[in-house]
This record gives sequence, structure tokens and C-alpha cells, in this order.
Amino acid sequence: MIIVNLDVMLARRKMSSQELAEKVGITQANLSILKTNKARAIRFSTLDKICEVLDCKPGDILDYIK
Amino acid sequence: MQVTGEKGIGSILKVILQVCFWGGIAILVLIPIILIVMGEHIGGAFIYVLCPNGIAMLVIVKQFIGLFDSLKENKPFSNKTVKRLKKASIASLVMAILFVIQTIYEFFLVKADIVFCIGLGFLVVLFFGVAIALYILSELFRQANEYKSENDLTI
Repeated sequence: MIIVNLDVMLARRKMSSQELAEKVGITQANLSILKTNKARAIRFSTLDKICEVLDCKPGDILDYIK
Repeated sequence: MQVTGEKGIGSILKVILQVCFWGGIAILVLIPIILIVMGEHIGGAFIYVLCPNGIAMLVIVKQFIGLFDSLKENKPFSNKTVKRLKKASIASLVMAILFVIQTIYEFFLVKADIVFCIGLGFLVVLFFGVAIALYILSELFRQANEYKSENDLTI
């Protein structure tokens, strides 16, 4: 399954969830869905914005575990 | 024609359904009492067919009241709606089966009028059709609910 490691990246960048949500342009509720791995899908535009704000690659946020 | 909203007919329909529900309960309770008071015999047809049919009909009406509530709350695509439609479908199927039993009973044992038996047969087909329609509708709502949750959980 695909897991989202947003917490790790946020800690590395010393950024709060609220700040990331504001910069990416999504609600805190949606960011929480993403962080808790409840999301069914992620738009490329959202992923693009997150990567831009956190200055990272998609592979730094997304991981695959069996 | 609008169902929900200020100009909608939803509230009137809900009142009608509430009247049907409580009126149905009153009739179910009052009929045996009236029959006893009048000195009439309560037959097996009432106990085994009419009474369970009445209860099944009340279940269907109750589910439809619930469906109007979910329409009012603007949550038509939810698991509750699917469950309500399935319950109504099962209740309708039960009614169809009970009418089959009554048709067999009236035709073979009581030797009732053929027109009456055909009428009962029509009710069997009607409620069986309603059960199938409601089941298909519940499946439709289940899939719609899945699509909706997928859309809601796409960030």
C-alpha cells in the first residue's frame, strides 16, 4: 500500500501543518486526510504544490509498503 | 418539481408518510380490538397474512420517512440510504411471499372467487417488482456512494 510521509517532511522543514495547508491551498481537514493515509487519491496539481512548498520530490512524501 | 427546499413538496410528502405510518399502526392495533368488540372471529388470514403484511408495509413507510430525512439533510448518498433501501426491498419481498401464501390458501383451500385470486396474484407481481426495483436502487446508491467517497477523498 501507498503511505504518505508528510509528517517526516514537515518535521525536516520545520513547518506546521497549518502553514503547509495555507501555502498549498488546501484545507487543514484535507491535509489531515492526506497525513492519516485516509486519502483515496492525490491530484498531480496538489502533489506538485506540496513538492514545491516542501522543496522535495514525490518519492520523499510517498512510500510503498507491502 | 422540487422535492427539497422551501418550495419543495418534500415536507408535504413527509407529513403524508407520517400520517400513513401512524395511521397504519393505529389500524393494525384497532382492527383486532374492533373485531373482538363486534364479536367477530379473528381468522388465520388476519394473523398470518394481513398483520405481517401491515408490519412490512410500516417498515417500508418508515424507511421512506428516513429517506426524506436524508434528502432534507442533503446527504442522499450515504450508507444509511443504501441500508434503508435494502430494508424496504426485503420488506417488499416478504409482502410478496405472504401474498403468494394467501393466494395459494384462498385458491386451493377456501376455493375463493377466481377474480379475488387474480387480484392477489397481481399484488404478488406488484410487490415482487417493487422489491427488485428497490434492490436495484440500493445497489445504484451503493455505487454512487462509493464514487462520492472516492471523490471526497481525492485531495
